[in-house]
Amino acid sequence: MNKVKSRLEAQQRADEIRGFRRELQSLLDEGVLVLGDDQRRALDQFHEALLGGYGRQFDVDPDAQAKQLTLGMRIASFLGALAIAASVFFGFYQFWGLFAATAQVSVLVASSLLTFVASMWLHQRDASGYFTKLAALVAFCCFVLNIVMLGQIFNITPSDSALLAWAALAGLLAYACDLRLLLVAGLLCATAFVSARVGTWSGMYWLDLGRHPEQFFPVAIAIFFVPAWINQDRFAGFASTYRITALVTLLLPVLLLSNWGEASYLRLDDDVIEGLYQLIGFLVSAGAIWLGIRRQWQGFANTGITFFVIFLYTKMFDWWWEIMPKYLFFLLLGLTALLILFVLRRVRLAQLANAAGLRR
Amino acid sequence: MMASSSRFYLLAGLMVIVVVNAIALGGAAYNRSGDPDSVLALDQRELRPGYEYRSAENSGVSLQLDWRYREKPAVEKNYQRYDNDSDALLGPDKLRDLGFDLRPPVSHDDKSYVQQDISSREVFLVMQLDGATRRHSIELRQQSLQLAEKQSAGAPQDEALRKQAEEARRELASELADNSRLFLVDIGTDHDRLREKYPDRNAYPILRARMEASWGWGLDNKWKPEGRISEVYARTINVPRRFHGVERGEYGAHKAKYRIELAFGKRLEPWIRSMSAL
Repeated sequence: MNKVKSRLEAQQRADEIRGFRRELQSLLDEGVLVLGDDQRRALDQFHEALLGGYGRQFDVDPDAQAKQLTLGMRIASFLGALAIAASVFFGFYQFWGLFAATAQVSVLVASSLLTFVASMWLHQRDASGYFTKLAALVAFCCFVLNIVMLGQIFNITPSDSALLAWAALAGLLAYACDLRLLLVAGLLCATAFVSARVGTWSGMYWLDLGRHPEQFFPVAIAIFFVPAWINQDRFAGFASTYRITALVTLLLPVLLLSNWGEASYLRLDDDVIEGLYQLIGFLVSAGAIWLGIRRQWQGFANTGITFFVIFLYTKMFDWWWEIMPKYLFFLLLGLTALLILFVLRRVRLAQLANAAGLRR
Repeated sequence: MMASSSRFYLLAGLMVIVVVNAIALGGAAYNRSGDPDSVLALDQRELRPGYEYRSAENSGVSLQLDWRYREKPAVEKNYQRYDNDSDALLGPDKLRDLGFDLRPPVSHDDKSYVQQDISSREVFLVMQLDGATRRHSIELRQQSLQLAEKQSAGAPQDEALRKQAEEARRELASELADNSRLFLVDIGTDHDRLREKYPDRNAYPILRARMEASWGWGLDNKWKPEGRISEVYARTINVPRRFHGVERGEYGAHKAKYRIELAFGKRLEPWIRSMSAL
């Protein structure tokens, strides 16, 4: 039997089985395929056992209606997690002044420890993962609050090491509970930490990490290669998350520098710097599209397309906004979007033709 | 029964939380151990409730450290009488001493750049409490008052001169009773060297701060590097629970009078040792 390792894989398999059943029925109805009763029964029993197992272990959606409800539950879980995290944050600020320092510290440390343990406990029992996600986000929020409030209570000098601590806990929660949201949180904290450290090497204060966006480049490249160095197959969607996060971490600073050359480390004229980064932006996003299509990294390719369009529209704004009537400017933007659509459609048709050729 | 991988994540996560808290609390304990770097007898003039004091959503109490630059008579007296006399501390020579790279910006012929950042770095500020710099501020106001009174006495019918004299009187009273007695006197990057230069730990606290430097287009149509203290880390100081209410007094915040013993520890992080109403 094909062993699935995660809810995502189980759901994909369940969807494939449903699709297969619909196609099989069509083939049987049209007389293209003939199956004996024994064969049909064995097939149905096999699929029922598989789906039953997936339902018990991973709480997969049995049909399209359940899938829609799942999407609603995911949104509710995410919003609920944010709301509870905000409540914890503001709740502490509301009441902390009523306690002595010892009680404050005890509450902070205990809340971090208890919410973390609760997340791990829930993960063992919650097949759907929604409650685990909620608890994990609250646990992360409690830990952030823990460190921030200790800093306020004891007037501790701000340090970038807090980012490393938050990245570590977010990463552990992500891998323990199979949560991409916490992985993103961990990567953002790690990105901020590394960028801050790169900045301090040039004598800059760490909290000014956004002043020179080039500081984000080394960590973006490192994040991109993590799935290549450390296998992420056991964690559904993690490899894709690393790659997309890396691309965004790389291209957002490039976008910034393409409009704000003053912020660059390069000692060149600002116009030259902006032109250079505009070119880099186009090349990197085009490269991301190519790589994403070639490796079938759908999210990665789509992110590349998004940034390519942003760079293109930014450039068109620079060229034409002042000299063109507004209706003409937006018409040109629309036509450019159509052109991109045609190009991508051609690429898609070429891919399909290629795939059909290979099957023959 | 928990799988071994789950047990690993559980133990690793607990260890991260415990270790990070231990480091933070250990650092705070180390800061307060032994002899403090400085101990100051301050009052409501130097430590006062901030703008967001006692918000309904925050039951914590904190005070803000108020400090000043040495003063000089203002060049243009339209809005205020005194300017900061901070060229020696924030000018190009000092910036060079502190290690800022003062190569002019590449786009220096573009006059639309009013300000172009150079960089920022962590520095140590040396303050002086109730010393010669404060006396200088008092003297400036006394001289202004003498001049204003002389002018008013010379033209008793002149309402504007009379008001000027009243204003000068109020400014002197304010300087004596309300204005902060803490003045910035030096900036450096080596704490030990600064402490050697200013050994009096009750009059010269040393604070950690962030200093920024940028290029300003001066009135002489030249780029000029300028420094500024963008952040003093000890600016907002938490008030322990046992002292809550002292800052409010009988008449509310911003009117209460109190004395505070403020210590700066080994890591130059401050804490309030005592606080009592005056």
